[in-house]
Amino acid sequence: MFEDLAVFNRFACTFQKEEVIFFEHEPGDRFYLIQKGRVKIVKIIGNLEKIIDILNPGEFFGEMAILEEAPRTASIIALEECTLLEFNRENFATLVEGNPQIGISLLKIFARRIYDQKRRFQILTLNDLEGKVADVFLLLSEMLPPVDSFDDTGERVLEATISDIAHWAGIPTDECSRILHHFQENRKIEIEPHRIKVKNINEMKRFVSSKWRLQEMKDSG
Amino acid sequence: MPPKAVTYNSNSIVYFKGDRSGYVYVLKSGQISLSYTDLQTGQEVHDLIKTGEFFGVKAALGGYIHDETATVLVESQVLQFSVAEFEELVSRNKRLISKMLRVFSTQLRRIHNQVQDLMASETSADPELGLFEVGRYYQKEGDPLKARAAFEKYLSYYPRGTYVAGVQKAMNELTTSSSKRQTALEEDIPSLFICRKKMDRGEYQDAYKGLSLLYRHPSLTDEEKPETEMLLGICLFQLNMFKDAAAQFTSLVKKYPRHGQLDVICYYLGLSYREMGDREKALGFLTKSVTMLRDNQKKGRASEILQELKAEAHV
Repeated sequence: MFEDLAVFNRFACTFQKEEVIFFEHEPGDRFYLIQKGRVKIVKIIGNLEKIIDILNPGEFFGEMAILEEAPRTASIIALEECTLLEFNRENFATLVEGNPQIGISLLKIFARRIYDQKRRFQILTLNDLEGKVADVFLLLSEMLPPVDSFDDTGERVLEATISDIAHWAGIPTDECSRILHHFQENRKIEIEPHRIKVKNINEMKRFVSSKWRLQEMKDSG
Repeated sequence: MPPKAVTYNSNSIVYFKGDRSGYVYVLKSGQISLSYTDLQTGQEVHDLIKTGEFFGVKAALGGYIHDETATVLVESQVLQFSVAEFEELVSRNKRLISKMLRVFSTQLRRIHNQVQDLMASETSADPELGLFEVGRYYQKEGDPLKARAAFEKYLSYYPRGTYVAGVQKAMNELTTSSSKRQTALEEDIPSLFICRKKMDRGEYQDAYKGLSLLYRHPSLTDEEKPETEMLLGICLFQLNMFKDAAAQFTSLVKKYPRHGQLDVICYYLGLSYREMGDREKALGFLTKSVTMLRDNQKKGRASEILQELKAEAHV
């Protein structure tokens, strides 16, 4: 991905499986690039540790703290033995100046994260619980590679568990499970152990739009 | 290949909200307005683009649809870059990358905080207290390695901090309990942390089995017992054993009248009685839970069920 990183090998550090790289709320002045292994991003929300994302080699984390000098917003834990390149504010500037491609990759990551968070905000502000869950399907399908409209049957396979969907929708897992099973009974989706198959994403779009229209009508009295 | 210069007439549209264009634009001359809905107020906002300013960057770089509409107010000339052309341009201008990174990270942190506010998360705005609470969370969840690591970090950042005494007390407790936990590990008894994880994944049968073993094991501390008994009740409920769940929660309330999660217990008691068809008891416990629940989602759900129960009475 980045060819001229060998010069940065002096910044390499190793973490063992389950070792915490940093905790949420810690003051942050380091930014990391994964060379080997995977890490998970977790956050304690409402007395539960939620996995926000899993990052692979070539991906970054900790970049927000280095740019804004603010506390960490999530904890990072090694899923297996990891080798990371660790940069502070000074050598981060050198890294970006010497490797504009890294700066561009970071811009792309930020752009995606801003979009995801905006969509998440929309989902959380929708009052209807079934609408929230259906909107999570739409959000997850937006993260998939674009489908050629000519071959598109509307079916989408989403790599997510019931607990992931509940987390995105901001509802309790048992409540989410009830709603998902209701969708399944109505043949709108198929629930599999680690994924959910949505039969027709366009139908879900119409369903979510109708819920938004209803909410707007109620809000406007 | 140089970027394409495009001229737009007054009142034309460069892109609509929802379009996926894959281009980054720069306003060369004229006047263009970006219209979008403010997430918090729901109001339509119009921002004017300055000459020389980029727009459409996030959607093009992120590969997403535009979340704003770009309307041409007077005849304008726009430079249109493909993502590859844009990358080439910024590669030659390091200051531009740094500036954009700062703008994007500020936007990201702002929207991230708005989402967190909506999630009604219990995360603390005070990072010192937040880090202390992270350590306590892992201690409570039976994950002593992470708890110790968080407390050690706390002491390194805040050696004279407000919660030093609490951190030291917690670290002493971790040392005492670690020898008991070692015995449990040798006997293949799961920790409370592992059982909670299983419940989070919906593996209630396994979680129930683990919690039952743990409850009888000496490694379980007195502080962990009330929660373990509550989790056993929740597993029974999730396994559709509503009568057993109600019995478990009832005995729990008698045993620990000041249980730290009485709100959750009342909620599940209400749900259990509802499933058993005991409308009166369901109404009683759910009404009580609504006044106590700290979890907004559970509170909302309890209110909905109460309405359903009341509506059923009128049918």
